[in-house]
Amino acid sequence: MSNLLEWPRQIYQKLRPIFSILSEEFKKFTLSLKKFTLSSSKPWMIQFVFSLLILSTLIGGRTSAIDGPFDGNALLLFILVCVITIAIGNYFSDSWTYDRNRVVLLFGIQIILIFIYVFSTFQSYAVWTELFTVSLGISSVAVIGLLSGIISGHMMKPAWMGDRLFMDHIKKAMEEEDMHLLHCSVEGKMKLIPPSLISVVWVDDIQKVFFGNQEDVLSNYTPVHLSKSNFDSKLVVEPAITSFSAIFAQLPVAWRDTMSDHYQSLSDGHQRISWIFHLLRILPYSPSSLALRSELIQYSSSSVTIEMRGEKSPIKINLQWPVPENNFQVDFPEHEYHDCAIHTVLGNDHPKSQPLEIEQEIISEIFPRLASEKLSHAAIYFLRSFTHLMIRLREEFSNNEGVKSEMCRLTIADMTEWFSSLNLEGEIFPSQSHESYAMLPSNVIPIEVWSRVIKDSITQPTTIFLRLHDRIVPFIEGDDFEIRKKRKFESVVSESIELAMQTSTHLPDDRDSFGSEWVGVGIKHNLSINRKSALLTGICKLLLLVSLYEEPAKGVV
Amino acid sequence: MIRGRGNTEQDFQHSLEEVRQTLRSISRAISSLNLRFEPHPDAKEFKRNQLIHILSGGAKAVNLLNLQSDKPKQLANEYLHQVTPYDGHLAILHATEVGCHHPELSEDDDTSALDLHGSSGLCIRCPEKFPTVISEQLNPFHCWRRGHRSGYFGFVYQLVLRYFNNSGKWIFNSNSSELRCTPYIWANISDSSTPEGSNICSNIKILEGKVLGQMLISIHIPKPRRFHRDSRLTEVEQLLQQQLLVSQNVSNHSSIPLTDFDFTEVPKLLQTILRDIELTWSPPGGGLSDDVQRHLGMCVIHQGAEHLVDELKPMLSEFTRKHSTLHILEETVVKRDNPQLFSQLFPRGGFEYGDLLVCLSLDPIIDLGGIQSAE
Repeated sequence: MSNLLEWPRQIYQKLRPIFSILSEEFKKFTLSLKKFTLSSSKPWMIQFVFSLLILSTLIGGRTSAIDGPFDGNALLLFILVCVITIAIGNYFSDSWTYDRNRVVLLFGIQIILIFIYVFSTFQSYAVWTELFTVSLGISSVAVIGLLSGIISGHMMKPAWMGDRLFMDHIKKAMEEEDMHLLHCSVEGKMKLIPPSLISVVWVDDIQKVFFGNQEDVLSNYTPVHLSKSNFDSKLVVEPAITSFSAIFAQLPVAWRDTMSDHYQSLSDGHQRISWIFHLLRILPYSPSSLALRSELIQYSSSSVTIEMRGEKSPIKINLQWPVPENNFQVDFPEHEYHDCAIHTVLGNDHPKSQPLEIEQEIISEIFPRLASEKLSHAAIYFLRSFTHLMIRLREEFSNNEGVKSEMCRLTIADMTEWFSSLNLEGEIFPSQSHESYAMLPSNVIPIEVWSRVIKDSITQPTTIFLRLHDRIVPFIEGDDFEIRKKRKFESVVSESIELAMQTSTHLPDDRDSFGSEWVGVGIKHNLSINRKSALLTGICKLLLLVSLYEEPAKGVV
Repeated sequence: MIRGRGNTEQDFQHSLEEVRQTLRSISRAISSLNLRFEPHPDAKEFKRNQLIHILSGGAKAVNLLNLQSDKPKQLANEYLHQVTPYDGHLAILHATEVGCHHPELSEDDDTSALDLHGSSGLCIRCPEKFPTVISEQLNPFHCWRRGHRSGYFGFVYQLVLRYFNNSGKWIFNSNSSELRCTPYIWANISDSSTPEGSNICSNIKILEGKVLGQMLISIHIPKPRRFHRDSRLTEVEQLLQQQLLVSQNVSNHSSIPLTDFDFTEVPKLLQTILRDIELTWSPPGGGLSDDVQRHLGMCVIHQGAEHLVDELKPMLSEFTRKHSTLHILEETVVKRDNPQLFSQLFPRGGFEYGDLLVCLSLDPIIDLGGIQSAE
């Protein structure tokens, strides 16, 4: 009995290696089969099926046959279809290899064509109608052209493949370097994301990389380092784009190309935060620093409220960020004439007629008295015009050298001093009951207008000043304004003229006042700059005042 | 007899300093406005060109007369008789073009508008030729410099010299003063909340409408009041006060006649104030010598204050003797002849029997060059 039970075991023992080999092969086979599942990351499958199609077409299609699908009657049509489909395939290469439905459709058509050609290998075309054979030929050329286009396009390195590479390589490196992502929403709210929670996804319909489960576009994020201040042990957030670029640079070129959208998004995010920091933190809170050279304010610091994981409420953290490197229009070419720069840098498409929450916060912090007098609405539109002015002045100051640059620097200094004093100058702003109140949003002075004003003021400051003077005088003489408002307007005009006079060129009989040792060492030159700057300051002030009540540029530039 | 000045010297000087600062502030405001607004309708183009010249980097006014070289002067004379409508320099404007009507000026003279300015110019002595009767006309001049018609530059500054019943003394206190001025001047004088404006008159009101050539400063001396007090009435008053009671019948005080007051201190006080005003009223930066008259005319308006007028007359006559004439008028005459003036001096009434007002019309001293005002 035992012998009876023994021999199958012996047989099993002998066949066991064979079974294990078969098992391994089966596993390999199933794994191989898995490769054929319609995942979006298998471009080789397309090439494989395409090769089969070509092969079956050559054999089954009998391309040299007179009565086959490729006979010479439709040669021109074939060429035309081929060119069109190659172009289409090349252009949509990325989406045709990523969208599951399209991939299935493509495979289905190819398999049907393969079957037809395999069948026709053993069957004459004479049994089919001519229409069918011509249609078959055109379809075959179209599919071959389409696939040729797809394969010659970006099929091998589409943006969506970058997600995998980013998560496998970049994210790990970011975790090792404790590199966080700083998110700034379109409302201006900031949030820190630890590296462990970083995830990215390419959304083909929008052609953009998103963070997480499509929470926000990745270009609203930027890599940052978190450290502690040497002075007060407070947390400090600093940009980490340089370290991030270094990580990126270590990767193979093909990977970098594949992740180019991801890198570009985070790089754009860095630039965006630079502008947000510049316009929403530095400009309103410490505008005088704008009159310093970029080298001196390389890393400005400002306390910002940031949401952090593990903290119940947002906390104050010092944000240290460099000034933007490029001009505004270069970084934001989509910015249009009537757009507001603050909206543009935030990427906020909120209606311009409604103040943003972040703008209200800024006004209540820098102009608490105006806010308490319910003038914050007018002050917000004033801030927008002032922001546009500072953008242009700063660019003129940074991009130029010599007289123009110095003029703009002096004007920035004067304008920021005036701006800082406005908290006590509530009289200049229109109240809600004033008829011009409704016009405030449309009267915001665009960057383009400031460009023209500054340009004209440099070449003909007197003319521009007089034009604005003539626009202001009716305000002072009219009956619409209360007396205190008139006083403020009048004082701006008088002070501007007096300042221009004080900085006028002194005549030869005044040279003694400088002392003879100063003659000929550029005093006259500097006085000219000062006078022009004084006039430009007056022009800017008057234009800002006019913009609170009327269309600003009318009759000025 | 009641006599003696109530102010301490310090208080008096403080009040005088406030008057000085206020006048200087007004002077600066007028200079500032003078840069932009023509003093006469005919001067509009001239002023515009001058403003352009200033903004274009024009420096302080060039006094061609003081230049060592004669060439600029010769050049100016050549242009003097040409039509130069777009030029904004006084040296090439003939004196008649700026409305000068000085009797010594003839059209054949090569006198430019610039020549009129300065210590030896005709302009500075012109008021002597045209004595002003304030009660009839505040400003009889028609030239661009003195007879300005813009309506932007007028003011009435009223000071009060009051007899204080409690101390029984005369007190000049700037707290009672009031400045009424045009909106433009008000907008340009230093704000009392600023350090520069901390010591100027705080009681400022707006003069409505256009004010032509009116720069008035008045010193109001209200009728002093003092009452005989019956000792029994005083006792009754004290009893009522202790019981927190009030009686309408306990107010029958009898006033002292005006002749019982001693006004001998008033002329001295008034003289000090007037001299101080006269010396203070000057264009910013000075430029007027002390012997130059800074007022166009003076008048005294009173009603039943002959006793006080008699006291003041010698001093006021001495004050006006050099350059102008003193006019003493009764209130009813002024009200009849020039009601507008009276309403500007007392817009809310307040001139009573026994009151006296010394009214001084200040010389506008507008600098047509205008550029010197930037100090």
